[in-house]
Amino acid sequence: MSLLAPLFLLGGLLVALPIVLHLTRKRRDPVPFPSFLLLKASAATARWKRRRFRHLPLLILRCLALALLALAFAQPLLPPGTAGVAGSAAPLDRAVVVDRSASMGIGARAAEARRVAAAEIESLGAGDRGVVVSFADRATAHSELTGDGEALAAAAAAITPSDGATRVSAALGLAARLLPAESGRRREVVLISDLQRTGFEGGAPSPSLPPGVGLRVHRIGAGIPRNAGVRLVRMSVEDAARVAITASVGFVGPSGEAPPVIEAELLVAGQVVDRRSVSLAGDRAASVRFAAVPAPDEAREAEVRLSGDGFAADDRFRFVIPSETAIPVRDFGEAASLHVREALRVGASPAFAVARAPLRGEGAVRDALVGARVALVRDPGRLDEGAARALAAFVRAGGGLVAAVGPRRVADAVWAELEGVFPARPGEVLDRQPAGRISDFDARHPLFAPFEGEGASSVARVAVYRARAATDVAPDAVVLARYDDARPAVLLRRADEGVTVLFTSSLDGRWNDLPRRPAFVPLFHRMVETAARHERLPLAWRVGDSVEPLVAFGLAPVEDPAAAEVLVEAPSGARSVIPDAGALRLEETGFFHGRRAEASRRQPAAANLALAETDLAVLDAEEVRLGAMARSDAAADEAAGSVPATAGASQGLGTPLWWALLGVLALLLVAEAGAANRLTPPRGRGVAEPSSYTA
Amino acid sequence: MDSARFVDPAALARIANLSLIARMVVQGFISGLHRSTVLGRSIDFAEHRPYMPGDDIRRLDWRLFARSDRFHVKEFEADTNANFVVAVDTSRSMDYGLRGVRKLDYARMLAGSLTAFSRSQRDRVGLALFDVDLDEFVPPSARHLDTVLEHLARAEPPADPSPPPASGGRLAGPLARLGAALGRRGLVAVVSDFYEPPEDVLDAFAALRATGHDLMVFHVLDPSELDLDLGGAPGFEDSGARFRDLETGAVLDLSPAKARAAYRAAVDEHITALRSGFGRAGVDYILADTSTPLDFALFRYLTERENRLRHRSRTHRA
Repeated sequence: MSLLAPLFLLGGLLVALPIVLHLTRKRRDPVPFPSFLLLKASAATARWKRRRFRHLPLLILRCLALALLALAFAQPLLPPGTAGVAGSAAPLDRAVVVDRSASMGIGARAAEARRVAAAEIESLGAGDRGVVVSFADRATAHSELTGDGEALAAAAAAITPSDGATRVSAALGLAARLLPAESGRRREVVLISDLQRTGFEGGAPSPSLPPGVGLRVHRIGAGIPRNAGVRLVRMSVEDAARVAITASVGFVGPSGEAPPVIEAELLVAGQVVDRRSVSLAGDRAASVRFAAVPAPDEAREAEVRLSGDGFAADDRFRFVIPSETAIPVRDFGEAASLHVREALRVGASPAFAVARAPLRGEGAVRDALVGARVALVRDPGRLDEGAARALAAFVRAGGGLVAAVGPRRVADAVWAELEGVFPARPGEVLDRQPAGRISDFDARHPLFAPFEGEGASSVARVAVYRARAATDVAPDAVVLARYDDARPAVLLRRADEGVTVLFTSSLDGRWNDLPRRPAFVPLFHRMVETAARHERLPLAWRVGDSVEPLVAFGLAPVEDPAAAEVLVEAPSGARSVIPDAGALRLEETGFFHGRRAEASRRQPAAANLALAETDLAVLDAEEVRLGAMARSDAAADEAAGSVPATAGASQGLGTPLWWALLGVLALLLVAEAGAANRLTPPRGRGVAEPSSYTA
Repeated sequence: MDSARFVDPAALARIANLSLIARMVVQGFISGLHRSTVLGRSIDFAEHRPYMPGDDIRRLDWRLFARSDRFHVKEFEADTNANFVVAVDTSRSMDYGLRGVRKLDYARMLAGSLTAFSRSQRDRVGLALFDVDLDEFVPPSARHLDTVLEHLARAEPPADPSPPPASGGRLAGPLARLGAALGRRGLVAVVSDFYEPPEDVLDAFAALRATGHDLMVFHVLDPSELDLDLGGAPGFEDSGARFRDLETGAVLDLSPAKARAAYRAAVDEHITALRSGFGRAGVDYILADTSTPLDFALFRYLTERENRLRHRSRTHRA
């Protein structure tokens, strides 16, 4: 018999209460009797020995009632073997759930897991059925619910570690679904895992099994192994031709143990280009900055690799150095603005490759725009008609344009050329006294994303003294920001393939104090990136991510729907075809390669171990067992105080006894009341009080 | 019929004024009787009383009429036929009452009623309260009715058990002293529970009898003393209980269920012995349990008084 709330058994100590009361209850005074003269004659034959306990049957009833009450509150459960159809003789359905996440590749964990799984399968008896489930970030059933032990053993033996992260709840959910609730059959899940803490949402197990499904947990592996791993790699552009790689390295090991000094290598295209020693003293984490490498002219596979340790999967961090490390920008202006120049120079991720461009002449402008992604025009009024025509053509062809107004009015002829790509025509000059503010902007747009939340005030502090009115606003233009007088401040328009961003004040600080504000550099960078349609993509993905193939491989879209698919080759060599609109799920670490069907050159995309999987902290098996079971079963099991190896099989199938106990208790109380009434004389009768007469 | 007649003593006990109780009982009792014509004569003037129809007009005090213009009759000591003394046992055993009133309360009401009745019959009334000794004594007098009732109302048993006398029964001493205190012969009524061996009780009355007093005893018992059924008493259990002797303070563990038969036999034997012993000694014995109406005792008293007077008349004529 198990107890749901064994602490209530302490209430059994209340049994002492009636005993003490019966012992210490004040004895009633002897019954007064006028004289023993006649009573003594019969005393010899009617001796009576005064008992220590008065009303012994009543005392026993009361003690029994209190003991039953305490027992009922403890909520006893009769083991299934002793009551009902769900006894131990009932056939068992068992799901053997084996962890195949990357961390199971440490040492001999995988082999041990297979051995435990085999033992669990072997222990199934006649009439029992089993199913084998493996899981990493996804759970897979390797068999049907069957009594075929050999098939189950074969399925379990085939389980090998993957590169996936650990997701225990999904596996338990699948296992529970595979165990149908059938009358007269017990259900049990056996979890075989290293119980990584990050495998549980929120770092703690949550109930994942329905009531009536027991859980036993086998924790594979002992303790946390010494492990250093590459957590993250960042890239920064040193200049237009070189990029610098910085890796974040972390170490986890037994407390008190000195962190090691490890070797870290940077490999580009399979060749070691730099090697550094990393001391992980201090907070057991370090950043390694490798020597800058030349920016590749095409996407290049790279890798940071640590000297090997217990967990090899996180010793390698693969990434792709993109071909375009800097956005080519053409600056159309008579004189380079100091603020604009410096803002573009400090750009590192991405970097900006700035070149001056002429303001006049269609041919000169067209030539200047060759190879450019973004044209920066700081006073459209200075453009002549030909330059405007060339710029408009550049935008329509997919180029980006960042325009800030200046003192010169845009001539009608020039505007006729720019009208198709500008979101609005810069109108008359508006002087603001006092200064205007950019009071409203769309923080959801990538252009203003850096200023979402607390950063909004840095934009609002910008004082604007002069601006041009935005007139003839294009229907497809979007106002991203407004001044406090509701006039447009920043507008965006997609014209054919290109994008134009218009700022209705200046960028050189003459009409506002924006360049002297902290918001200037990120805002200006975002204007250029928006115009260039630059997406900030990670250098590498994580196993378990689902990515768009065009984004992952940096491929351009095609108009032919039939050709809108990407041929993908996984690191293991597995090939698949993913539609452009589809998603590629990264299931393994390494470099994926994708290409169009007609293209010969393929683009790489790197996938690394999920960051959570590199955290090797584990949970206690009992904690997992009690936390993952249904609350009622866990409470019952916890009350039983049973050990994981033997307790899980019958969880949730116990027969509650406490209702029966309460029924017996009620009968006892009735009996006690009757006995008390019978044994206790009614009040109000007794020896008459003396009267006091007055004459 | 007066409402006080045959009234439960327990109901009367709720009335705090013993004098009122006595008069209620007596008047109610008298209203059911024929007026007594037996009057005494004497030369010893006692008092005046207002003339009542039926009084002999020869006994009118014309001198007083001349002074007050009201008719008064002269009373003489000889008008009170006898001395009547009621002796009440106030021992601790009388401080008991389970089913009815407390025995001492019953005894007080009974004694008060007897005294009041006696006084209505022109007797001189007195009182004796005794435990192991004669505690209070009011000599018989025609003017002592109120005094008697006052002493009766204050009568209470002693707080502590009284030590038994060195020799003889508990009644011997006080009754002997009472006999010595009473000068003239008269009627002595003793109210007690008589928890003494019968022979000691009879011996104790010998002194009184020797002085020529007419004696009558009222044996007052609570009904529970007759059958040992103390159901309702705190701490009492028929299967076994601890008893405390009110007289001595001694305790006794006893099973009433087992002892009841023997106890009843002992009580019967005790009463029989007293009844026969008193009968042989010419003492009227009246067993009155506390549930008995008080006028029952008065009937017995009146009967005894008339018998005594007739016996005395025959003696004088002889």
